[in-house]
Amino acid sequence: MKVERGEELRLPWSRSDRPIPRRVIRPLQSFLETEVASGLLLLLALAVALVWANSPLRGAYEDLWSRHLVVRLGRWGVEDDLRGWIRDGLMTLFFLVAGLEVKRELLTGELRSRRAAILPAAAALGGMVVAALLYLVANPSPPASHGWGAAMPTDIALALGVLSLAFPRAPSSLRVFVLSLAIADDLGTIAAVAIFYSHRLSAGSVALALAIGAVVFVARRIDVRSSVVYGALGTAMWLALHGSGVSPTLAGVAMGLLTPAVPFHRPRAVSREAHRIADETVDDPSPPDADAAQWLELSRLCRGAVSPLARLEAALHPWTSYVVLPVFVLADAGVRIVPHALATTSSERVVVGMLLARALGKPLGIVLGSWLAVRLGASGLPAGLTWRRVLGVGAAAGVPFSVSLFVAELSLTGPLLDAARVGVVLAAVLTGLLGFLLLRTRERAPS
Amino acid sequence: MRPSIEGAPGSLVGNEDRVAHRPTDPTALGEGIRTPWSRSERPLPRRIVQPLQAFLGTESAGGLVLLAAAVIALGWANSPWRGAYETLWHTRLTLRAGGVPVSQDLRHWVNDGLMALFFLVVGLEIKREVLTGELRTMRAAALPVVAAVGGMVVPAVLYLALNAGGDGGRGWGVPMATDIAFALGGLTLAAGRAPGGLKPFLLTLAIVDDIGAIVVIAVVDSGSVSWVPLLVALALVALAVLLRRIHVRAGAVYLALGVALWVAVFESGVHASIAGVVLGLLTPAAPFQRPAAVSREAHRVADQTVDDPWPPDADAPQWLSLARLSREAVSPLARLESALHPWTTFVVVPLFALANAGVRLSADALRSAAASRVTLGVVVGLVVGKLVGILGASALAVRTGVGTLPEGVTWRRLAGAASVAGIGFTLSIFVAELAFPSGALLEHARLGVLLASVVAGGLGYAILRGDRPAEEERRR
Repeated sequence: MKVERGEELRLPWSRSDRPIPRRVIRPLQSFLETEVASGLLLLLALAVALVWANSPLRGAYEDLWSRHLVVRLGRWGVEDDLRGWIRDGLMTLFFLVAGLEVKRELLTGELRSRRAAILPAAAALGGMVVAALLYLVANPSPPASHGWGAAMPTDIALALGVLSLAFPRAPSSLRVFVLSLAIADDLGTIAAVAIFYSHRLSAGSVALALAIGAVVFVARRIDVRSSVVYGALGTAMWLALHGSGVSPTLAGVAMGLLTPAVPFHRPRAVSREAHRIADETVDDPSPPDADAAQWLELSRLCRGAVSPLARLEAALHPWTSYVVLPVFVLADAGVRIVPHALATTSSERVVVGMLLARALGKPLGIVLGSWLAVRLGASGLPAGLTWRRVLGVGAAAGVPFSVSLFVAELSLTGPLLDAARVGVVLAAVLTGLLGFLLLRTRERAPS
Repeated sequence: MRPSIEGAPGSLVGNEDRVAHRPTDPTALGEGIRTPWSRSERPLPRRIVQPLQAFLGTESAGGLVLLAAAVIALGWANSPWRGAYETLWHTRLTLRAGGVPVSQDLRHWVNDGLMALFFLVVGLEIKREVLTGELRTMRAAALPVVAAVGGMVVPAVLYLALNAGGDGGRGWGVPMATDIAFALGGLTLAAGRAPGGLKPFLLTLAIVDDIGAIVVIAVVDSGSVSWVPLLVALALVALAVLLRRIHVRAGAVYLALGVALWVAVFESGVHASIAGVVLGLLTPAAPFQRPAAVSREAHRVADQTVDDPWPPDADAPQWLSLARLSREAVSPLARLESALHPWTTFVVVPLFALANAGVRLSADALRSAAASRVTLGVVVGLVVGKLVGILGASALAVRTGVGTLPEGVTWRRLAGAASVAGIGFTLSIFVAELAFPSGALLEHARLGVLLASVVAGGLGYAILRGDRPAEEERRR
């Protein structure tokens, strides 16, 4: 069919050839689409937070994040400072996406078959266990020992970011390994947050949250598809968990895992409807929007041809990588580096423990876990994966600092929390360099 | 909150059959569009959900739900549980960020917050009518516009005549308003399938009336305006226009902008509902993509996607892009209207009635209202003033040749519609709350609005029901 000028799809201004879109917006968009973008954004947020918190403007930094935000209805209310809202509220979106990713990987990804899952799962487990143990060796007694959970986590975006920065043409087996490892790691972190970092658990609240989960389940069964309903239910679950002793971010994980992974409509049926609607609508209806009902129906059907899981992930992923995580890091990483405050023995030990755990324990544990899996014959090393690369991945897995900061916030307070932040950030720098070198040099070797 | 006329752009009313899911190939059972549980043949959907949906799809549903809410509010406020009614609506909902608290009771959150959504839809409807509806041409618009003006001026004058010099004078805007859901619902109930020309006439009249009400709200409520928030609001409007110009189409952006605009207008002292009207008027009425281009894209995506991709959702980007494109084949105005219309009709306006119609009908209250000039003014204004004003102005317009009676509309039917337009309910109570902050005058005005709405509705019903030709036409 010949398409006349002015009849093709219209490009918005941002993709037109005008000077501002061409010189500023389009390059920015294509940068944001690369895998390193979100990692670099996180680094930027980290740098800004550190500089800001140690600059003469540090008063403004503390003022901003400790500003109180209150929502109160009659006697019930949620009150927290801005940092708490970001940690418990915004980060729920991040954990929602994490829940979606875990579910997708378990159902359709590498973790689907037990055989393929063993290697990344063993590597993740090794990395977590060794890191936590090393931390506990350095900090055997409470309250510093509570921080062990902060030594373990990896997050997907940063781990993949480090990999693609260091090794742009990484073989897909390596990428899949990193992805599955990070997902397994997510599961571990979620379990640790749920099990070990719940204080004075309020049974009533947890029961209420479970009941809301049951309602979500029933709503799914009777084909309720309105996102408003699930948004309201998710908010209710979050409110139930808020102040229950469990991190309310787990509401995000639960909603993510409850999201259906199959489309509501068969794609073929939607294709047929698409042909029909495309034929029945006209280009210039009178009155305008006379075909609105048909077009909106087609839009609904097309969304119905995609699983809610994929839809939600596509909708939320940009927000969590470009807004939620950077904002969290900006609010949370701004630790004042005051040498004499870190010079107390307990603080020193937290820094050292964190360094040991993440710069040494994480890579060693990942190699150890993988080696055991291969050695015991449970798994083979996929093509494209060498032990050096496994070690490089292990180092890269020590970089991601955002979820570590998150767990540190849950487990430590005061100077110990600051010390843990310093340790996590220092470890990120060290392991980043290490991983970069290990993965980089391999690139030149023939594969 | 208005059940739209058949085929109104942006409304799915009357379009059900066009979007019906009919499997193209009857042999391919199980391969057609899947019907959700609520439309399946199981007992619960068949006996409860589907009849409910069918009811909500009718034109008088909005009016009936609103009526139910008003009756519940009245019954509740005069029951032994009236304490709970007051406690509920006086519960404070507070949002505080740093030093700036927004703290109001639930009634005001409904009146200032939720009702902004209602006014957003009003703004959208006004824009649609002016661009593509009855108000587009001077010729077609003349009669309803003149009638609406008559129906606003005469009630206000009657009210002022009865309340000259008194404290009640401030309430002149109360009898000027028309409740479109009740008016259209009443018309549909009374006249069955109302004669073709009458419904657009009443709809257009009510929309012009809404414009009047917005002006009244702006005038009555502009006590002390603080300029800084108002300038911020203007800057936000300018920003919205700019974003439109550079084709920003993300709903989230405009939602954030709308919330900010609402806060700015709220802080400025101008009534926050104006923010909704402004946003409605700013919403583009033309689709971003040409339908023909989207049709081509739909054929392409339908051909290129497969039924059972691996990994699952491998075609997700294509489907989601087609979903976005087909939404962009519809104007944002129609899209927003069809998204918000059910919410304002079945949630916002009934909640408003529930929160505001709970007038105490004790003997004392009735006695004091009976002697009140405010009550009298509202009742006379809405019942007599609307009827006389609309009929008189229409007669004048037809006599002078400015306008002509629409097809199938007799003077008797016009009188029925004019009477029904005296159901001021929602907007009248809304204006009363602004004119009289609280106390006896507000109670008198509310009682007057309730009474007048019942009388005007009953009168209109009697006029339209007794209209034999309408009955005959319906049977034909």
